[in-house]
Formats: sequence, structure tokens, C-alpha cells
Amino acid sequence: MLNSAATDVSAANGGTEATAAGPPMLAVRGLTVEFAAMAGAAVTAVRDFDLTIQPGEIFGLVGESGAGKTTLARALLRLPPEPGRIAAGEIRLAGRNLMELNETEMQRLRGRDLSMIVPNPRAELNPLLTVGEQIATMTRVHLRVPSREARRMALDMLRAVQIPDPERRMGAFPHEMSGGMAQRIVIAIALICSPKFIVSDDATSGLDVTVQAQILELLRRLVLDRGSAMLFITRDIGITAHFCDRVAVMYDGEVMELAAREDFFFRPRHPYTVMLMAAFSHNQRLRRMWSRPEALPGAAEPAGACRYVARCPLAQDRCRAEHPALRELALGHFARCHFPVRP
Amino acid sequence: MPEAEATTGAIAETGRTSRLATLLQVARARPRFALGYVIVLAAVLAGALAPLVAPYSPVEANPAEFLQPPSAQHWLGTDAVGMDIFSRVIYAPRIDLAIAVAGTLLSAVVGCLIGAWVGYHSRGGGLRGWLAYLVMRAADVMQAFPVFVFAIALVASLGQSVQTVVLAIAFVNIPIYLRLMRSQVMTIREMRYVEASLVAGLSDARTIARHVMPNAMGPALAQLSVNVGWSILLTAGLSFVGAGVRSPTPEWGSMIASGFQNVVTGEWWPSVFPGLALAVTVFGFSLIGSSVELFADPVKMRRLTRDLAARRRERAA
Repeated sequence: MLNSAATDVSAANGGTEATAAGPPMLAVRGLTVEFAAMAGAAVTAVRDFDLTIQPGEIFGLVGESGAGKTTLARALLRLPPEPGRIAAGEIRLAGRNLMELNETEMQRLRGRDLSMIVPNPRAELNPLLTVGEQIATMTRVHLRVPSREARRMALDMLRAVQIPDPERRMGAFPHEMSGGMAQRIVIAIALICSPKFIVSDDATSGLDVTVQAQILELLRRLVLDRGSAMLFITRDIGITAHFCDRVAVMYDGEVMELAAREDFFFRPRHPYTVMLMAAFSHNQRLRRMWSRPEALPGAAEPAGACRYVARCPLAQDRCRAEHPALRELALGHFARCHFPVRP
Repeated sequence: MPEAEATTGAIAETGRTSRLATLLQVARARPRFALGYVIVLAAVLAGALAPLVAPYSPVEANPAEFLQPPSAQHWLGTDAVGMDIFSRVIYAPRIDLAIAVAGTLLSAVVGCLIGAWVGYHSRGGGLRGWLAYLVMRAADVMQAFPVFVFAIALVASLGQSVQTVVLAIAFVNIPIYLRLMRSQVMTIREMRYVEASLVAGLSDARTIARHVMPNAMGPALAQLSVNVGWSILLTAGLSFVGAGVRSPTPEWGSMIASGFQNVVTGEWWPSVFPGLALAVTVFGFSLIGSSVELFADPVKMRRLTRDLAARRRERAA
């Protein structure tokens, strides 16, 4: 499990580690998640993944469906979606190596120090329990507070996530809530124990734009007030532009580009990033120039090729022969490309 | 059956209109369901009030009045040793219902717990997955074996007592709940809230207890009432073949058995009346069972309430 840990730390640690005082809030090294496939050969959903996130930082991770975002999020909690398993790598939460903990210690950690905000909020709540009860469970189990105190904390948390009429909502069932309201409940569950690190997996998908903006603002405040850090996973590159301190793009289990927000949006270097941004523009020519819609993502690449080669409009022979490493092109700006786009 | 009623109440969630009102409406539209509840209530009351109602002792023989036909004095006649059939018939639910309910509840609790565990671990590999597989094959064996022979063998090996009969009934019913719960849990465990619970750091046991079990209980609860009916039948059947409750304890099955020889010689009443009581009670339980099924099916329920509303509008017009 630890074989790839110490080998190449400096390559892609996000660049800010040197300047920070304590250990980073989250440090992932060489994380690889595999799914045992029927035919025998394992499918790798997350490949040799490195990530460093500092306290107080909101880190955006963008990717299309199937890029491995959710698998990564779940793997950070050491609960990869079945039948996936963590094949290699190291996850450190505030300096503590999670791969060395046993399952009981992990359970104690999940939801208390390391929380996940889950997508599709209404399906994430037990239909038979009131939302107040579901929030209170967290503090009862993790912080061992007595029931009455747990209810009081839950009520405070409902206020903190700005649920109108919180006293009455404590006794409400999930089906009585709107999607936005349920999302706030899910956030309340994730944040009530003041976790050190929060993984938000597509937390705002399926919400109205107005509600989405409110929830994001709320999330940012809650994260910063509590001195936590957050990995914000989304498929909407637009959200990260307003919300995240640093942004990375993920494709087929790998980080393709990683940079501070301004750098990322004003000077994108990877063709995939440019394609994602072009897809947002209304300029037909720009969109056509950067995308090859006929190529499917995840098409069988020859081993050792760039994962993006089939869809890349700039692909050359070298891209088919040699898998590019994540290189630092400017201070704190990384891209995994042999022929990065000129800024 | 209090637990059956609680089930219907919990499941019959039909919006904000009063549940009681809906229940009454349904009872009027489907009188046979109401009949089921009336029958079972009558059986329970008969057992409860038997000491007040019964004109004679259910266990005292009066050899002077053996095999009397039904009359004003002995409403349902007397049996071969002169015990009053009516008194015995209304005392019998105390034994029959108690055994059936206790056996069913025991099997439901044990079956559901094992079923939940098996369902939760069925997809996983390793030792747990293998153990889950073993449990299911054991259940196959239990169900493939003739229920009756199995129960008789159990009674024979553990000795003849009320507890043994309860145990036998629980034992043969366990696979039913085990299977029901397993299939439900296998569906429920894929629900996102179960994942969310694990992600939130709750242990497997707590996740099963708080999120999986309550959401998977419905069908098992609906099964309870029907199952009590079968269990009464099994209790009586065991007593009939002499493996159950011993005479002179008032019990329908043993009454049918002891009156059996007299039927050939024309004295039909010692067997027929307890047989009728038995049949009607079991029928009552299965009616309740099908009413629970209706209440548990939101689609059928909505169709029924819609029809009722339409009919009411028609009448008003």
C-alpha cells in the first residue's frame, strides 16, 4: 500500500506546500482505485492520483461523468464504490495516514473529521426518520453527546444552514422537503461535527441556479468559519470559477491540469481544459475547433499513450507513444500534456 | 391482532386526509376485510372472556352426559367423556392463538434478523459472503423438508409441551421471513441513504438497525397476519396427529382428533364444531392479511380511494 508513497512527492503537490506552516489538511499520494472487471483485467478508475489541499482552501475538481470523480471522493473516505478497491496510495488527513487505520478508527473518523456531502439529497436521507433525528444521530454517535444536547445542536445547525422555521422542520420527513431544503439538510449532516476536511461530491447538481448560489455561499462560509478545507467536485466548470481557490481538471482518472483559479481560467494550458471552456462559449467555431465529438471518452487507448489522445485536436505521434507526466509549466500551474497550449 | 392493525396504520399513508376516515371508507367498500377483523377480534374475545362466558369447565369430564347432541343445556353437545364442547371451543383460542402468535413472532424476529444480516452480506465475498450463502442453503433444506414431518420430528425429539410446539412453529416459519427480509435488504442496501450512513461514519450494525431494517420491514409485517393463520392450522394439525397439545387441554386440533372416531358412528358434533371454529379463524386471519396487502400497495390504495370518491360524487349528483 505504501510503495508509491515516498518516491515522487515534489512532482505534483500543488505547489503551495512549501509555503504552508503545518501539514496540509489533505495530502493524497499515488492513489489508485481499481475495479475488478468480469473479463479479468482490472479497470482503473483513479490512476496514481496526487492532491494537496491546505487548511482554509476550497479546491475545485472538474470532470465529465466517468472521469472518476465520485470514485475518488469515496476512496478518500476509504469507501470506494463496490467492487472497487484502493490498489495503492496514501491519504493523509492533517498529517495522519488514513491507510494505516483499521476499520473502527475509520468509522470514528468518517463524518467527524472527514465528511462527505453527497449528491442527490433526497435519496440520501432515510425516508422513515425525521431530518432532525438524522442530524442529531451524527453528534450522538461521533461526539457522544446526550440526546437532548444532540437535538439542540441539530437545531442550531438547521439555523446555520438557513432552513426557515427550524423548530418545525426538525420533525419533518425527507419527502416533505424540496430539493434545495434536503440539500441543506445533507450539508448540515456533513458539517455538524465540524470536520477538518469536507468532500463535496456534486453537491449542487439538480438545483436551481438561484438556490445553487445560496448553497455555495453558505458552504463557503461554513467551511471558512470552521477552519476546514474542502474538495469541491463538480461537473460544472462554471461553478469553480466563482467558488474555488484552486481548480483541477480530471479526465479518465488523472489530473490533466491544476492551477490557481485566475491562472486556470485566464491561461488554460491543457487542450482538454480549453475544450471544456469552449463548450461553454456560444462561439460555434471555437467549440468545433477544440472538440472531436466523434471520439468517445475512455475509448481503448494503447497502453502508454496520453489518455486524452483520441479526443485531442492537437494530438501528435508522441502523444500516442508516451504518456505525459504532470509538469509544472508556471509557478503552481501544472498540466499533463506534451504540447501545452500557449497562454 | 394488534400488530396487524399497527401495520396497516403505519403503511396506509394516504396523504393528509385522516387515516381513520380512509380506513372506515375502505371497510365499507370492502366488507370482507372488516369481516376478517371481526372474526379475529371475536376469537380473541372468546379466549379472553371464556371464564365468564363458558357454562361449564372446559376440562372437567362428566361421564354421565357423554356424547350428548347439541341442546339447550349443552349448546354444542358433549364429547365422548362428557366435556362441554361449547366451553372447550371458546377456551381453545387461549392455547391456539397464543401458540400461533408466539411461534410466528419468534420466527419473524429471528428470521428477520438473520435475513437482514444475510441480505446485507450476500453480495460481498469473503467469509461473510460464504456464510450468507450457507445460511440460504440451510433455509432451502428446511423448506424442502415436509413441514409436518419436520415439526413432528422436532416435537418427538424435544418432548411434548406447549413450548416445543411454539418452537416447532417458529422453526418451520423462519425461512419465510429470512427470504423476505433478505430480498428486501438486498434492495434497500443499494439505496443511497445506506451508503450515506456508512460515509457518515456509522458502523455496519448501526446502519442495518437504523436504516436498512426499518425500510425493509414492510413485507415481513404484512406476512405476519397470514402466517398466524397458517400457524393455527399447524398447531391444530400437530395436536390432531398427537404431537401437539395433550388432551384434555382445550385445543381445536386435539378436539377434532378425539371426536373423530365418533363421527363414523353418527355423533358428528365433537369434531365439526371445533373444526368450524378453526376454519373460520384461519379465514379471518387470511382476510386481514389480504387487507394489509391492499393497504401496503399505494397504487391499489389510490385506485380504491379514487373510485370511492367518484362513487360519492355520483351519489351526490
